[in-house]
Amino acid sequence: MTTTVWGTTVADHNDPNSVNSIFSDVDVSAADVYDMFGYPSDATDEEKVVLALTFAAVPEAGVFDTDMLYRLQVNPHARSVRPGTDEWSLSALSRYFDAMRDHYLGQRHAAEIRVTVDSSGTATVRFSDFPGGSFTTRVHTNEVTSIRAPSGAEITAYLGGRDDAFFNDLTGFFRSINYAPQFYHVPMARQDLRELPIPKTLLELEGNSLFNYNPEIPEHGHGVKLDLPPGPYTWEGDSFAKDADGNYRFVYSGMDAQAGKNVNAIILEVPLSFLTERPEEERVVNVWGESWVLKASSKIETIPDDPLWLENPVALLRRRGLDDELQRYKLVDTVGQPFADAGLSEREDSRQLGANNFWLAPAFVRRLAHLGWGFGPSVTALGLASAFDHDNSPVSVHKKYATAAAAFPRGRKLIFQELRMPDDSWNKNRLDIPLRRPFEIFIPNVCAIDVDTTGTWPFGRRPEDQVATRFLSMFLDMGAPLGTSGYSVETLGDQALWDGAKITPRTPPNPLHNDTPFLTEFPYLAPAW
Amino acid sequence: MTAMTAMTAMTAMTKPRPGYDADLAGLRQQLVEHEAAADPGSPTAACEVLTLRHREATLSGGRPAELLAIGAEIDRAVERFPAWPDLRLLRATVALALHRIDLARAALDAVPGLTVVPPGRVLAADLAQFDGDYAGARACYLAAAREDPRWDTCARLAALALATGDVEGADDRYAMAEDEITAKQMRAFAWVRAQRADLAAAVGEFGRAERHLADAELAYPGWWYVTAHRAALDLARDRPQAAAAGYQKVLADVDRPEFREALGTALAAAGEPAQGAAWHHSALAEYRRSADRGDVHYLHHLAAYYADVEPDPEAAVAFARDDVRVRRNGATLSLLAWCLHRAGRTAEAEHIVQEAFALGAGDPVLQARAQEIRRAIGWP
Repeated sequence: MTTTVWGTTVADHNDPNSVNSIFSDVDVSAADVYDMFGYPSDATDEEKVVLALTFAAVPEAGVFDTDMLYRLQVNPHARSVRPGTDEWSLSALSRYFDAMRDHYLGQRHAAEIRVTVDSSGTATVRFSDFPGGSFTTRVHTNEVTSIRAPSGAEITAYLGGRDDAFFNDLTGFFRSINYAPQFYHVPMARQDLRELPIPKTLLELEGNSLFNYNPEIPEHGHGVKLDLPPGPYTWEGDSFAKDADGNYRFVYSGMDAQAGKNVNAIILEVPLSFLTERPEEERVVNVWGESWVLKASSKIETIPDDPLWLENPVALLRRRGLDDELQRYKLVDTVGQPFADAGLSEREDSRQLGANNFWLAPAFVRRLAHLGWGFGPSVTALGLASAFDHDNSPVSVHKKYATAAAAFPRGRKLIFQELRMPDDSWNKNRLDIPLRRPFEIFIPNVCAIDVDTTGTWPFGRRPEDQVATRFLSMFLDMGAPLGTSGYSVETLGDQALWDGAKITPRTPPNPLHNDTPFLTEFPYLAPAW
Repeated sequence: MTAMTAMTAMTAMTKPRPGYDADLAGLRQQLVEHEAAADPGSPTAACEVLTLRHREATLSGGRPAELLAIGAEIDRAVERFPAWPDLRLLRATVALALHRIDLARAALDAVPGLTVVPPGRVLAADLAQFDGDYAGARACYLAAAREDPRWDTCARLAALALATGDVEGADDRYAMAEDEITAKQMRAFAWVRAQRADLAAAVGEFGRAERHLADAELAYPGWWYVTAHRAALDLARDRPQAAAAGYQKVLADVDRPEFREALGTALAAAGEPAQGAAWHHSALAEYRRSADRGDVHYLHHLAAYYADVEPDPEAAVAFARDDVRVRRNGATLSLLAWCLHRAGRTAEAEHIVQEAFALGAGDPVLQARAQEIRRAIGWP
């Protein structure tokens, strides 16, 4: 026997101790799904819905990563039953979540559309389990294509590069939640330092030097990152910041952080009759998107007689429930509602839950209360009515709750109140459609398109929706009086409100328009830059 | 051919092959760009550049001299940015690659709380494993995996399972690690397949080892690391000419003394003792220079060399003891026991084997050595 026994000598200086340094995480940003748009189309011949999943333009706009699989899951249903308006209790909320969980995890499986693209730019599109049929077709990317289903239904498709339809002041949003990685290089060893323990706020806090706008570094947070100072990472002040004229400083700038940027997109216009056998009854179409990346073992599986799934029962067990194709991929990212990840859940791994985010329900209650303590006092300071009970705190507070039960009383109205719309234009068929409430919007994390509406958020999501402004409107007391029309999801988008406020800059949270106009015809999103 | 197509053809000719060559070229380009743009006053920039240097050095061969130089550079950066935790993590990583447990521990201890975040926990677990504290290492790896599930933590758990004798569990863990690796991480996949090949070969499943290495070669072409494993497998399967050819190929990319030694062994087995001896002596000279400088990373190679290649039993025992003083674990005790046995001190060797088992060690090499040592003293 020699001590150069196979496996000991050659491995010694390359054992797992050096794995981290050898194999840095490779960027998989083609897997970063951005937005899920969904709304009834204006087609006059038959009812159709527009579904648009956008994701990072990697390797470039119009060129898809051939290792990726994108999946849109679609689940039409009748409008859900929910707790009555007189029962704003935690138990009523729990019953709702239980009912939804049974719906999504029980007998009903969503139909789905899968897309992969090969190196020649040809996409394979698989429609599975739709009443209108299951079939596979191949289409060219970057072209508007008409797909005929076995049922005869015509589906219009575009898969390719477009202008990013998301227009939003992301820096402002991250400033509002004191999200360090947008502004600082956070050490790998300090991943706990993401949302710093400083009150969430819409108005800058006096002395919050880590996140307040610094005119000497105007691009800070807009691409410029500094090294994270050594701390402290808390805030000990007691007031909102004001300038010499007594104006608050808004965390939002009104700038579109995505201006001039492209995405890749899967855009489909699909007849409702293809999606459901009962289009007259099933008037809500839930849709959510996922990205999956090919596993390394699948990439080389042409080697015979040793596929992992045959030889390894452990791996096989982990893949239970996935079909043959999905077993070859790894789920990376999920998108349903805007701000569901960043706004309502701190947990990175929750991003992969999609419609199955029911277990996050307690975290949702706690998180809304945490946000409420931050945004509620900001709203009040602006002279607006807050839906969150913050005991008239004069300034934002950093507070976290250990239990949903403790958080719930403060956030009851925030969770249960109906989000009023500015007028009735959303209700295009003039039906008795209940207004949506925050808990229904975010759990499950899907884009729920009500086909009897225009599909404007939260009854779906249209590209032109100012979702940041509408998201923040949850913190307004929709039952309080305001002018002649009261509060609505568009209140914070009213320029007149800002013109009259003691604040700078005087801008709605969301930029008012996309950097380039949306199209009135399919594929609706503007061409890539 | 138009000028454009000629240019395209030229580009194709000069473009590195996908896999190792392309990755290394890309990494070097990235390093150049970072070095050019680095803000000397920024700990992030310093850490990024040093991390890239470390990656480049490790990917291109992991030569100890380069790692020592990088370690010294990190020390200088730490002097400027003592509170930047990632520099400490990098320092600990480099120190561990060179078996400098003392430096690794000091780096982790320098910043409070560093060992309770996932990357720090993993390094603390590595340290525990170096110290033979297998239970502690397992607990730390599992805690890190709970907080931040990563394929490489799973691979470390596999290596730990192997070190403690759970061969089947080790392969399961490697398979789980593999299942987390995507098509964007083909080098990682090849690395795991090479470990699984090691594992298969260690228990005599050479056909399986061959298949794993074929997968690794296909997944990540041109990597010397896989070629070295292939050569080792050829040597183990009594194909010394193929092994020699493989090691020569490896040495063309990565001149490390352990590969020179392995080439010497392959050539000797192939009936070319003179050439083999020359390579052996060349390797030995490098080992000795390292030890003479006070470095510890080649102590186990020196012990093994003097135990088996060019027997000098007392020297072998001395180097093995030195190595045990640095890191007392199943692997170092196993080698010490073997050296003692080769020196005719088999009773002492058996005592050391018992100590290794008492720690919880049980890898196939230890098992094989223990069997031979115990047979020599009359165990059934």
